Amino acid sequence: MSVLVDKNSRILIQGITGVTGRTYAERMVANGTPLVGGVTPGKGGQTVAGVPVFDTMANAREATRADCVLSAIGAPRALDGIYEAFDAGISLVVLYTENVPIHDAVKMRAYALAKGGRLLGPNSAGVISPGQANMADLSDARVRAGRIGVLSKSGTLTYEVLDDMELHGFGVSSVVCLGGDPVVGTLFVDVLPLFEADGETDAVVLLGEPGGTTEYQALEYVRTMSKPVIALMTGQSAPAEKRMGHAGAISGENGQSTTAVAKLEAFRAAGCETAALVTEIGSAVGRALEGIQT
Amino acid sequence: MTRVIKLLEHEGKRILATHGISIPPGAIYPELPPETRGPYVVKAQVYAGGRGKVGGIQIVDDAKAVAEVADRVMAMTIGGEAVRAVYVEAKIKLEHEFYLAAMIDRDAGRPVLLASTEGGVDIESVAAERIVRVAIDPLVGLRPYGLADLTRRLGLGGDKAKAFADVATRVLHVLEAEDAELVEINPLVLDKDGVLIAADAKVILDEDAGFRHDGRVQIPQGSVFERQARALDVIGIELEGYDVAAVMNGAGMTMATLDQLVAMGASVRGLIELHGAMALGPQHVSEVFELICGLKPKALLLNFYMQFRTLDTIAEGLAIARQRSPIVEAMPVVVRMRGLEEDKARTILRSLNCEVTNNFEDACRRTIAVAHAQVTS
Repeated sequence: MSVLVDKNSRILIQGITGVTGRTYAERMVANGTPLVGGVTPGKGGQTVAGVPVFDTMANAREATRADCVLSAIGAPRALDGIYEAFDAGISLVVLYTENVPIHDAVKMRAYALAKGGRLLGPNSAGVISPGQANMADLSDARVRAGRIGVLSKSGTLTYEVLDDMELHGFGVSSVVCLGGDPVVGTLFVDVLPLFEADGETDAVVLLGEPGGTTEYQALEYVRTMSKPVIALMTGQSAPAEKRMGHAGAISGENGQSTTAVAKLEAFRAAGCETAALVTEIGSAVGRALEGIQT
Repeated sequence: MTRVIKLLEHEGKRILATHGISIPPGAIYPELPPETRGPYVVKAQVYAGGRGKVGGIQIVDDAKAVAEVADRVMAMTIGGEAVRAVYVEAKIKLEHEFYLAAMIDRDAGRPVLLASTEGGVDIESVAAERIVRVAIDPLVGLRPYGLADLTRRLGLGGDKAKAFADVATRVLHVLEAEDAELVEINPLVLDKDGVLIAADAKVILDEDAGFRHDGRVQIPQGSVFERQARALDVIGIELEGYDVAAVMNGAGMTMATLDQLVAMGASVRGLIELHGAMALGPQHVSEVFELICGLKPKALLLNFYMQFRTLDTIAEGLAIARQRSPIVEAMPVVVRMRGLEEDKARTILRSLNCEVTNNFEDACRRTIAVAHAQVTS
């Protein structure tokens, strides 16, 4: 078990003939991720890393029965690509591309929701269920299988977190990276129920950041969960967020503070184990698991 | 981290005008708005807020008085920022001041319209229940039901409701057509003739959408260091500290490194996030190292965990910078690295007399120790 992807996933790469797409394809095949094909308009009929390339998502889905897409196409084409994938009936898309216009992110998020699909990103480092499927910017060799779910906005920080957890003997069931952009397709609160329901996840590590209020929304769900959630909010010492202007300041409707310090305090007050530094996350997970055994 | 372009008032107003929103006749001093005789409003053009409270907006009777005031306004510094231009506008005879804005609600992932009958004041000082908020489904757009809800909750009827709905529609259109994150009009003035006029404008554009807007360029902002970082396609953050500087890749790692250094007692001088610039090769990376050493920290930390790009690019970049720049050569450097081509990078770094470790915490501790040793010696 795991969340979002597993050994039965059928994965396509959008933009498979580009540099990033090809690198992913070769790595997936080498590490046993169930990659079934790729899409690049005009390159249908070719193969990359031994899997077939199709001209359209619809063709690819028809031929391969794929359900997941890793998209590594350029930012100007990203909106079109995401529309095409969900229109073809794909249920999960990871959009790895960064610098996607915010209005495009708004539209792709709305379309994914309307289609009943799930979009990770833009600017998502992806999702990995170790030993089963890797649709992430994380090296298979660095992700140890275990029973902790990891839910993160940042990709680079996730490595650090996994290392510290491993030092304390903890591996992961799945790692889900939501993406670092201000508007993304999937929020913490959308993924927590999947970990809560997953029989092979014992606890969830939630990695938040300054900015926005989605961590508070997540906390409301955390209060109802049977499994412990361990929170790390990076940016404890970050300089005060540069405000967008007056309207930006009132966008958080309940007047909640968007600093990492305030968010961490909220989780602590709710009874969660917390870590202020990335080097403290492994021991925090240890404390949380002791808590459920006693 | 998002990349945005803030516009000055007069730039924002020009955009509003091209979308059919009324603005007062205006011109950049020393020009005056054509066919006007006064009174005038003389306005400092700065990115910082709160200019009215410090004398950045002055009302004068005629052209002669404009000349007297404009030079004084031009010489002002507002919120630490030198005034960039002076904008002169015809003063409007106002009946009422509204607040109107369109923006992206980041958490909801939707555009929203915000409006209030209490405009012309700091919107944060307006009670939340006096601000009307209409969220828009991006797949459907702003429909008559949304507009009717907006004007009804503002208590507007008849021609006023119609005029307000028209401007609200246009403001939302500006947000979308111009790829803006914020379009704020405060105040939106109702004049004696029943016309709604944008008396101020705050527009923030999305730099990531530059590919579909010809000529959209970022106006340099921030410190000299931060602007130079930007020119190198990396993100520089200058801080108040004095002993340690650091270079990382990724926003999450940058924040985590800052947290760790501060928690361990460092006073951080500055940070650079490479933001994908490693793809540009060691020569480019060497310029980044030279730039951060220019902040004159007592020690430099390079903190990298790379699984896609390779670490030898970092090591080669440092080697080049050391050869070229005496400041870099003299800088004590601690390198923390894990990931691809670690051995190759270590061989290069060994010949450069750097401290190398693969442990995050050790690297921070060593950097601070080296910096403190420099301070006391």
